[in-house]
Amino acid sequence: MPNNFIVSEEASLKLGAYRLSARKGELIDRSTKISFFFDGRSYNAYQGDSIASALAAEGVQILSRSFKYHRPRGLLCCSGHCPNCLVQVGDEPNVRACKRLVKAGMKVSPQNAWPSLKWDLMSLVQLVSRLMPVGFYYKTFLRPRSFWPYYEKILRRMAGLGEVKPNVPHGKLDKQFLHADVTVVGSGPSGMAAAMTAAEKGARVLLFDENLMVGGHLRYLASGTNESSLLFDLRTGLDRHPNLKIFTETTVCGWYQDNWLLAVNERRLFKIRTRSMVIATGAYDAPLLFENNDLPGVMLGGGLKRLLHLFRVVPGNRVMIVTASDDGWALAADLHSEGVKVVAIVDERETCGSQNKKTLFASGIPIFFRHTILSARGPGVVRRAEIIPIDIDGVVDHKFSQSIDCDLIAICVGWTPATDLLYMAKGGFKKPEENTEVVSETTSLGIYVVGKAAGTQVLEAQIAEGKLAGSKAAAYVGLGTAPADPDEGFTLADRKTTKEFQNYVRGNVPGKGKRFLCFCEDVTDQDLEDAIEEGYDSIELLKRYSTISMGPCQGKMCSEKTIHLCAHANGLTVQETGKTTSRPPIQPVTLGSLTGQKMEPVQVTAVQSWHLDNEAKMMVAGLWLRPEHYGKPEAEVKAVREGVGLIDVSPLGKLRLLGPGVIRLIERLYVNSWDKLGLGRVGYGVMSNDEGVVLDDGVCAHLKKDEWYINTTSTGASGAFEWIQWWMQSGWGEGVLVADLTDTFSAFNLAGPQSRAVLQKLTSQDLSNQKFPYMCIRLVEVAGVMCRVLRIGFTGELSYEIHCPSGYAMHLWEALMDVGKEFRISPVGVEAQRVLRLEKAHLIVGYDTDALSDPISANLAWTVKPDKEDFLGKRALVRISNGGVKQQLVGFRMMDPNVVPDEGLQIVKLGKANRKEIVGWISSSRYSPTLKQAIGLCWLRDDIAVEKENIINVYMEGKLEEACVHHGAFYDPQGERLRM
Amino acid sequence: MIGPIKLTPLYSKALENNAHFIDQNGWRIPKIYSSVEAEIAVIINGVGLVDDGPNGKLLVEGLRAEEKLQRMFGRIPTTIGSGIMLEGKNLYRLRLDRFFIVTLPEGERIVLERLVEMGELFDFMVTDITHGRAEIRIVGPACWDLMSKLCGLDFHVSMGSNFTARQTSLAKTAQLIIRRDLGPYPSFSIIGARSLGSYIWDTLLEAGREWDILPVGRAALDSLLAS
Repeated sequence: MPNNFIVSEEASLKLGAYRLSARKGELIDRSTKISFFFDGRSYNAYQGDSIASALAAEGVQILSRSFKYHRPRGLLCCSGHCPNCLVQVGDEPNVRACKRLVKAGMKVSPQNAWPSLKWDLMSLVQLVSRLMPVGFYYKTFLRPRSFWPYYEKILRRMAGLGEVKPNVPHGKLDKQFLHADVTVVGSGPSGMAAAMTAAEKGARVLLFDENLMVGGHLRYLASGTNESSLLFDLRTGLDRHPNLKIFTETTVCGWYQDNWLLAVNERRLFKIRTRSMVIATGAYDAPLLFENNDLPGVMLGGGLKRLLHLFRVVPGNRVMIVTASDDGWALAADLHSEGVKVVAIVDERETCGSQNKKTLFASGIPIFFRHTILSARGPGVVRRAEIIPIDIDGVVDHKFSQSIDCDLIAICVGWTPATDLLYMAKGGFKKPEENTEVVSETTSLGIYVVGKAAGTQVLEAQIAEGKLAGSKAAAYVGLGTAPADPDEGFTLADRKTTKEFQNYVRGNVPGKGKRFLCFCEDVTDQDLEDAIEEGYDSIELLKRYSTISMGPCQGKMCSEKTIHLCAHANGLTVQETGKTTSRPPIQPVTLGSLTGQKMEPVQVTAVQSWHLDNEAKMMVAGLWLRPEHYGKPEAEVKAVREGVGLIDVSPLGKLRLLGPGVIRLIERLYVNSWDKLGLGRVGYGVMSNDEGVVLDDGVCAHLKKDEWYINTTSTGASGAFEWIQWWMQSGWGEGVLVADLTDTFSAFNLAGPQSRAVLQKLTSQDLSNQKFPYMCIRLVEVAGVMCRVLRIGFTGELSYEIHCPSGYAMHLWEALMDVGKEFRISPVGVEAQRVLRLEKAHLIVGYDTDALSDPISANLAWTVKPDKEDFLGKRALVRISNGGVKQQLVGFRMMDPNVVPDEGLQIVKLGKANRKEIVGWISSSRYSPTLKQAIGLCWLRDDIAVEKENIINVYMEGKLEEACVHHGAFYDPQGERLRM
Repeated sequence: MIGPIKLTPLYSKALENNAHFIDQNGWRIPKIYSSVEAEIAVIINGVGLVDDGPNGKLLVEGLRAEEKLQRMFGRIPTTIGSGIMLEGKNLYRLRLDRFFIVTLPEGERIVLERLVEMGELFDFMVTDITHGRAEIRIVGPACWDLMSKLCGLDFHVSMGSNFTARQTSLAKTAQLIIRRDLGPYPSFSIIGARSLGSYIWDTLLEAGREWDILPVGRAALDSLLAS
């Protein structure tokens, strides 16, 4: 099929004015050109381009608008950490443009801008920014209190980024469990070395990296260097090792107790149980505070390196480098060698030790030591920068500021170790010296931090440290012995703390204007100082009050700088100031990822397909899907009362209890007495807990000596089984074994005056009342299947509950329906069953009872045998029996027979001045087609319930409807039809 | 006399997948779904899904279960979670006092009779749960990854060898998982409540899409076993 978005070679397309020539190691495939849309305009890209790189190559500098002030924002980190490139891709909001690869025809739109990205009306907010200081929301929207609903509407409309469309089909996301001896997070040089070493020691190793491929910063070093061949060697080793599994484009974004990790990618969420972990997460480029530091055209050095080496894009013609480390000089050298004009190198230090120093000096690039950037100037995007001298104490002299024309400013002033995972894993940090970055350290057993995450900047040291950690991690899980730190003249710790390898981090910043500390929430350094002045001087309070580090970047751009500023403002050290608590996830995770594949267990009976084929309306009852009715529930009731109906009651719990101690056990579990129930007999029983609350009910059949067959309610089946097992394990089950046969036997209730005739057609056994009386169980061969048949009657009619092995269920059901045709048999659903039982005033446990209902109040006092030996609930029930009940479950008939009150409605008594006093509530109600009358069960205050025909008032939709109390069954109160 | 035909919990799922059936040992089982070749290919290259419901399943419990089984079979698995292969059946130890026997279809009757003859009642109970359990077998090289999408067990450690059994949670339901390789092809049997069989079947099919999972009939299995 032709793809309209694949651009033909012949088409004279300009694939970016800012794209450089091809180079080994680039991620783009120049042979495949595609087009996509951004903000309604079509752009071209190479296969392998990220959205951001493609747009940058085309000269697009503004990608989004900021959260609070709606300031234009462009590419900053290019590593998926900052919020500047969040865009909407199709229906998916908050996609990081620097991470998402372009696809042909992709529709990308900017977020948080109206009516357009270029002209955003909300950017006028900047004009009144003085009126919106830190804590503005807390202070402003408190009063008047009654206005909050209106405030809330406006704030909700303004808050959030992107658009979630509710009707978008759910994506196919799922989850996977992973297990490892050693998990390495981050695949830079130290991570790769650690993974390889651990795998070679025999450990099962998982290696995660959030980027498209492994390699870390080695991926974007100039080609042809020693480092690029090193990367090749390391990658080859990893790919071939059988113990090693690599997950790229997957972010480990949470650590939990006992080394339980959470990782996500676009398609899947991983739950990882690892025995040991190596954190090699590298470091984030540290931004710099200066006026307009968010202007499109200001980029972090690492981001520019990625664009340059991976996508071959430099989004500017005149680049100024602002640095405080040798990294800036390396970037300048890379740009210079590519023919990109570097207009200045501005270094805060006195000198530099870079190997590129000589070349760059010789190139004639203006170099400014002991200088820093004061501001970036527009309009709209970077057009020039002001630089200014700075002394060793950070003091600037405004008299000597100068302006430099440039359209791209690269900031290379140091690194913030990516320690989010480490901090979750109870790791800490130390700070060897003022004005240097913090050095991470681990305190947890089996967790090791290496590379830039540990403050190690030198490549050889990173690899040595990775190997060491890999060995230690393997040894931790019992593979080999833990090696000692190598002695190479100076230790690894020396390497990272030796001044030459430290990065210089400035605590405070000179200058004025908006200097953004938090790019997510538009928090400036001034906001932070104001908050501290207001008393929010602890780092945790400061975070909550200013919302700093609470946006999409989760503090990656601002956390460390905030600690420094907070420390400086309070006159404390960084260590005294501490850090905020790291919590998972360290990057935004979609709700779809957390949900994963839909897994909602549902149970179906063995004749489910028959129900569906016969147009049953299904309903959920507990975990079961059951037929509610087959079209006409009233006709189903009539069939049972006048002919015969067949009900699928397979979900009923069915337990086999075997052993000499059975009778003792069930005497204790039930409030009834069972010792007189003969073989082949069935009895109704009620189970209560030790507080006398009804737990379950059902029939118990005495099958053989020391063998009983117990039925429980459908939804209570698993609970009853666990309840019995619990008491058996508590010492009551001596000599008893219990088996759950709920699924082994399907159960069908053949009910109605014609039920015997129907069943008799399928068996040669005598089913007469004499041979098979009411409340008995028999083994009967029905339609060639040996079944347990119980003659019981929940519906109030002659009925047989047929329990057959489930494999035969469909055969038996169809046989019964077939022979029942001449008796006009009808399948009967749950709805009709509920009407039938209500006509008999039978309660349903959990429907008519709740967590406070005792059997005495629930009209089941006849089942309670307080004279028998100890049983569960005995004390409570004796107390209730002696003290009297406060309310009772009784029947009621509506005076207007056609008015059916909703279940749950209140029953009231009219007092003085027609004041309504609640005296009860309705637990069940239905219209009885048999009685042509609305009937139900209700809980009533004892003094009102006790009198038959007492008139009560049901409070319905503001009106009172009269009803009268009814005792006993509404239909066939003597139970003669059951015994036919 | 041939009695009524028994249906597995997944009969309706097989109908949905256009299975052709055969009646074997009193059970109606899917013979072919799509084509024998395609079903064999999915077992070799990805993962196939087999309805093994007809296999006999017996639960033997009680303090004297070990003694009775030892007497009947001559040997029993000694460690919890391990299993042994006996003639026409496999015996697994789930607990110190609980064993699980899987037989060929209809094979459970003879074992049950013999065990009951040994005398139930005192600390010994045999329950035929053949009809009460769905048994779904997944076969093929991708079955490890498929299981890891639905179950938190570390299969390489917990079920590293053939004939191991674990009672665990799978797709939010309680299941017994048995490793039962089909020759060179790794395979797991998932045994759980019959009423949940359809749900587990659908969940496996959904989770296995990335490996082009297919239901596999008896013909493909027999063909693989023969080869």
